[in-house]
Amino acid sequence: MLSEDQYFMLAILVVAIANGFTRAFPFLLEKQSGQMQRVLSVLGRSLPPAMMAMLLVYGLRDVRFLDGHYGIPEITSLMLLVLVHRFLKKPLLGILASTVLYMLWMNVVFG
Amino acid sequence: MSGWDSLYNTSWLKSKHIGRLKVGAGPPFPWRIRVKNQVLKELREIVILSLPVLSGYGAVGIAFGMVAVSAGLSWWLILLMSLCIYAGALQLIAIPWMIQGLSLPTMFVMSLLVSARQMMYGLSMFPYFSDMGKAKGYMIFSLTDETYALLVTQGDHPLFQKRWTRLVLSFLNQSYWVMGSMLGVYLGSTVGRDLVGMEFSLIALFASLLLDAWEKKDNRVMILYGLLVTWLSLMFFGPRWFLLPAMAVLVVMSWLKEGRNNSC
Repeated sequence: MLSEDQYFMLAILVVAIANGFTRAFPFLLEKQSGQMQRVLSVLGRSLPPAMMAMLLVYGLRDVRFLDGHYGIPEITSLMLLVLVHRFLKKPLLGILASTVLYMLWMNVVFG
Repeated sequence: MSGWDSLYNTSWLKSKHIGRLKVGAGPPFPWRIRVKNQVLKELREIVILSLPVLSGYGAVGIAFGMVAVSAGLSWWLILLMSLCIYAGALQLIAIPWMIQGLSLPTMFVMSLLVSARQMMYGLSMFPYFSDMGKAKGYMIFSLTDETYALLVTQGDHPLFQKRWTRLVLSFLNQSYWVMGSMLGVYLGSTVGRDLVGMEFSLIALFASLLLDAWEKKDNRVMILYGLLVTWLSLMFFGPRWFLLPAMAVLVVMSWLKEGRNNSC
């Protein structure tokens, strides 16, 4: 059996290899035929937006909308993010502001 | 391009700021020092160009370090992640995977899919990487969203005619990321120990990337499918097992969508 640290190190290695592979993909295929390049461009074009949507749902998987906090901290923080992102055009500030608002909810209001 | 390349708007790089920093009346202090040495001059230029990456990586790196340390990872594992993985969203999402003890093959597949957006970046990097020699491997490894954005928008800058300048730029960017995450570790284990909710930065990051992708009309169908399919999968399979089925369905759907576009 792996110890916890060994598992963590292997996990980091696995994630690093997968991530490096996506970055190296075009360079690996540089000399390949058009067929493989088509596979690449298909996955690279329409998969990323779907993955982002999936990851957002993944992040919100434990939110309870029908009891508990009714999802109020999450919904209001995300609304703030959208406002800052769309109208101030400052994505980074949006992330920061919404995280601070969420932390206020969780530490002060529901703390 | 969706993703971080537009998350941190680098358009100001092209604008008057650079010119003002170089020659104008009142540049900030460090840039007012007269430097004779050509190499130092170029180094200073690279640092100026990479400043937006410093602010972006600093902020997200601190968030990552704080979340990781509060999840119970030790500092050297966090350092190892920032050195070997070097990807913001992926590193943040890998924390719960590691804590839950996800199996390694599953983790490999999920990492591939989370990082899928990077698969296209290299295509536009061929001219900048082909002459890099032994450093080419590092250039490819360190091709993050931000480095990509900088090289795409600034690659023809006379500064980047020399090979070493590109290498230094990539290296600087990663050093910002590593420093940010280590600062996050420090803050997380001192000031932020009793704070909850830092992990919301991950959700905010994905929402922000999603908003960027939404700007492009062509992306919208897949975003809506992504939300719907993942939500349905969550209802069917529960919070522990829903990710892989959703991914499988979405890969097939994006395949079908592209197939239809190509045949037209």
